[in-house]
Amino acid sequence: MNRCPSIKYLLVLPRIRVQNANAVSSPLTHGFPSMTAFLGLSWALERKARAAGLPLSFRAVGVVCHAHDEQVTQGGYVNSFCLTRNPVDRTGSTAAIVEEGRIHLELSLVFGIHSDYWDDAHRSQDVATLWTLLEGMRIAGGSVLPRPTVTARRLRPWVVDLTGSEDDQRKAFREVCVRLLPGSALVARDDLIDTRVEALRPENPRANRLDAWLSLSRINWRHDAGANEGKGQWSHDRKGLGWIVPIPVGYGALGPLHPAGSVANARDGTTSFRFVESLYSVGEWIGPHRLRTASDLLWYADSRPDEGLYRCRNDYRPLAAADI
Amino acid sequence: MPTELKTASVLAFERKLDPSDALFLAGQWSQRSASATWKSVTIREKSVRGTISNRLKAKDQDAAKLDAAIESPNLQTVDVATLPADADTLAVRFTLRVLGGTGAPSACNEASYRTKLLATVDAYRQAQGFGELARRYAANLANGRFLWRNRVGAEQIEVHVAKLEDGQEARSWRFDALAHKLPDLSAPAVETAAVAELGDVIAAGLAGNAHALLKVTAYVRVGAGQEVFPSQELILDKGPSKKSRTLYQVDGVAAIHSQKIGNALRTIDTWYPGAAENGPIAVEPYGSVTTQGRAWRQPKERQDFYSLLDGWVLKDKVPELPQQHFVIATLIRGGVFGEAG
Amino acid sequence: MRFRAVVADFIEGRREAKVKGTEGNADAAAKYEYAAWLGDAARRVRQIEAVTHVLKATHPDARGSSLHIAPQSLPAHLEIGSHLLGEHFAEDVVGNAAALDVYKLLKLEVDGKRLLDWMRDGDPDLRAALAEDAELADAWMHAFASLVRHEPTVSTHALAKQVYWLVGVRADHDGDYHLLQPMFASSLAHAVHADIQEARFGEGNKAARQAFRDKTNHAEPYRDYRNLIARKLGGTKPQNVSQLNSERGGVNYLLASLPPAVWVERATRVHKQESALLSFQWFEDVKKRVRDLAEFLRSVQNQNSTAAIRDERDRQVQAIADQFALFGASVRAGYPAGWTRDQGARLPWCEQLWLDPERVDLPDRETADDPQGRADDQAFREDYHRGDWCDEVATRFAQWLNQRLRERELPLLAEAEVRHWARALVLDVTWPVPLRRRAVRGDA
Repeated sequence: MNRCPSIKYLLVLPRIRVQNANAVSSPLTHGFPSMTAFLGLSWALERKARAAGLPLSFRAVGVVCHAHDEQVTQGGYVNSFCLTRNPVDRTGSTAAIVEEGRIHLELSLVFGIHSDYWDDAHRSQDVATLWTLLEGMRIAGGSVLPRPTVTARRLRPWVVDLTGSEDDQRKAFREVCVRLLPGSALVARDDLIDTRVEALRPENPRANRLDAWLSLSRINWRHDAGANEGKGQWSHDRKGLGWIVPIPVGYGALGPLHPAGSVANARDGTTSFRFVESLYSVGEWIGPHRLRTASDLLWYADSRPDEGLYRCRNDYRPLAAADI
Repeated sequence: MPTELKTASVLAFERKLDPSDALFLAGQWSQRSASATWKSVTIREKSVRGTISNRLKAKDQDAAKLDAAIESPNLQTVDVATLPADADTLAVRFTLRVLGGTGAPSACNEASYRTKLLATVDAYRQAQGFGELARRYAANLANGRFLWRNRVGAEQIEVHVAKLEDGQEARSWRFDALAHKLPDLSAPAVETAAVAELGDVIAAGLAGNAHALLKVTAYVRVGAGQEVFPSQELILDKGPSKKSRTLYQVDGVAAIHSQKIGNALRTIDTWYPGAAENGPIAVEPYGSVTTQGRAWRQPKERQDFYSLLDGWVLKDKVPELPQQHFVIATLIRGGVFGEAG
Repeated sequence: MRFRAVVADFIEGRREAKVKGTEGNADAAAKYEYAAWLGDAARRVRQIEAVTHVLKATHPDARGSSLHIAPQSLPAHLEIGSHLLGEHFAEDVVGNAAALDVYKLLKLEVDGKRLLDWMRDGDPDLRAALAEDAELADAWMHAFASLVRHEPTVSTHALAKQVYWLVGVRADHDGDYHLLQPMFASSLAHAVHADIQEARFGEGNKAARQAFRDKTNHAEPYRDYRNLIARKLGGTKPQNVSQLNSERGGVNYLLASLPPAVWVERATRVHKQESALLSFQWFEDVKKRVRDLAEFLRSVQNQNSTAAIRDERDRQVQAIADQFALFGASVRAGYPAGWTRDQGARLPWCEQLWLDPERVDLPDRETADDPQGRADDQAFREDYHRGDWCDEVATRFAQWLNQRLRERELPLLAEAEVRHWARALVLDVTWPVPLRRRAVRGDA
């Protein structure tokens, strides 16, 4: 599906502190776990919730980052990860170091939930149950730290009902957004790749989407000799563009789906197996108060096995200048 | 027709003892009950004029060069952390989550192996419970082993452990860490019961479906202004930085890595060949100890995790009780154990 | 005979490089005889494999399939991936590093096409050039062509990354998943590596960077990759991962997806102010919005009021009121609950109630320690829930906005109307909802 599925409730889990989450989100990106990790978390949580007797469908997930502390060396033009010492192997020599990147995060998670039932009477108990389940889980490989003993209202999880009128929904979502201040929400900006390809073409008629993506992944400075009253000035190409970043957005198949049990050493013998590679696009970190509807924030799975595509999507569209 | 049971080529377990990073605070020993108001310990850089102590290369060894090389100052910067002048006590604080479901793999690609494994762990649980392992983990909380170098030379150490429920302290214990013995994980008589109680809480967490949460604070009286020891970062490629020692900090607060806390808590293996002289080591599949550059549980002696587990699960060769403890402790440690690697 | 000449040249080159200093050693020389070397190479080529996706980049101890997937054979997704590499992609090689010389041979080009591709196409001239014995030549050709393999059975490994992806709708149905193994796309990584390497060390970008630093004129743009991480693959033995990894020195560049550091706007630090409204104009784009409103009002000053004019005016005023509500929420988020208890808080009472709502959740201070504090806390909670502060804060906002217009000698807005909008917007983003307001808002 390429539209956010229908959602009746938002479960907001504010300001979760995660220790040692995976900072390597793909073979080409670092600094924040991939959205695929958060979708995986929502599926795992749904399984646990259903096992605990809560028939809720977790259909989408949004994430707001309040603080981050990536474990990297500081100061260089190019940094490297701080590592943990690996145990020695059976011969007593150091085992091969696989460089794992780690990041501490303070996140708010917003789960988009569909359910026919979820009556008011049980909801607060259910939220407590879900919270307990989540605390025992890994988020992008990281551990959930316990909350402070005194929990302020802004730290409490809550459920937003999106079954009311459009105006009610708008207000309810706006409350979510302001309660998650200050922070940054990750949204999709696939549109920027198209515009950047067009922008590159005059100088480089063969520029493709990879060139555009790389161009968007760096800052391009140009000297304008006429600027600054003829004294000349260097200026960059990020003005008005927001805080945009390259991100992985899912996987593309590298061949056919292998029947369950046909691939040696697969994690199980009952699930169809496929080799894939990460696919990339561009995202934007945006203040949550800039979001208008829940679908601006939420990411959902768009699975198209026949097209070899396993995609995380988000329906955010930037406001046209006239709308601001 | 019964098929021969074979090991799973993919076998993974999540760690069941999940500590947080341990943060450093500073205050007065007499103010231990008011530690909420203690200030955090920060890290600062200092320049040191080291002397050359590494072995000189052959070409440097003629006498004149040698003198010059030794006398030439070896200027470098290092990170240090010290208590302020008005604080004589370091507080080291972390939380420990004890997760249930011990023995259930997070990944296993042989259904029949999985069934047998679960039955094996269940038989252990029924016969032994997690009591012995949990008592040892509790001992490593009580004895302050997780303080590492900060334990050395301390005048007094008091460890507070509280079990948290719904954010409140449901029960709590205090231990005189220096009265405990590190080599045999033993407690002084007056604290044996408390260690046992704490062990019961950990055992219940390991066995149960709900996790247990402990808050641990160690008060280490080292003297005002003394140096304290957070974790050191492992940086392979130092780049342009000349700093020879980078200490770990979280939001500007000196800290010990969670991995290092976990390593101390699972330093309970006294069942390997050589334990009598070498003392407890951290539970690792091959009994490896990085600082010793040595693996104490060699496959050729069939004392490693893989040999013991395969014997136990595949061939019903039930290991002796101490080695059963070791195998279960390795499952609690977690990791990817597919094929012996 | 162009093929034979190319191959013979290559073998001669190997001989010269390797046999140097061991002249006269008949065994060594014999190895480099044309047929002998080719026969050996045809055997050794099985130790290596040309690939685009490398398993060992995930973990050096992982064993299992690496893949050769020609980029042009992949679906043309809109996302960024290997499919964008087109025909001219860097091919990687995995396997025994000692057999890499065979790969070097197969990479040699004849008429613009690699020997490997001639082999794969089964070119008869090349076959004839390999050996006179047709059967032997065929076997060798087949062997060399197998540098690119597509094994009928593939395998993975416990140390490979394998993730479950829900393709159906029920997360608790095991059958609704696919198991995906994300592979390291080495050919793609090579293209990205080349661009970053060029930006770091290429003469062109170095000159541009220097000009940028010197603030001098330069025709070319300066490409500035920020917050890169160089991750090492394969540790001290990058060649164990793959040939291209070795060429990259084991460096795997990672581009930064980091969120911005959260910084709190200065305008929302109001604890030393006598009114939060003194800071409001510095919040985000408030100043500009007020200026735009003033300009609009001036532009229509002498016109008859129409519905269109009123709508535009109302829209602009409401947008400012909306910023006002957001400003309040931002101030609140920047302080801990109960911050207005601080003696230093000089804000008017209604603004304290507005900007510290979570204070109502805190336990009252103890009478013994602080009798005045306890009374304040109780009054705070009572007044908060009475909710009159909403009107007072909204009134202050309306007066503030009118004051901005008065300074510009513009006609003033109807205070009651502005207050009404502001109150509603402030309440929208306020929690807990004041008790007396719940009925109005319909909340439970």
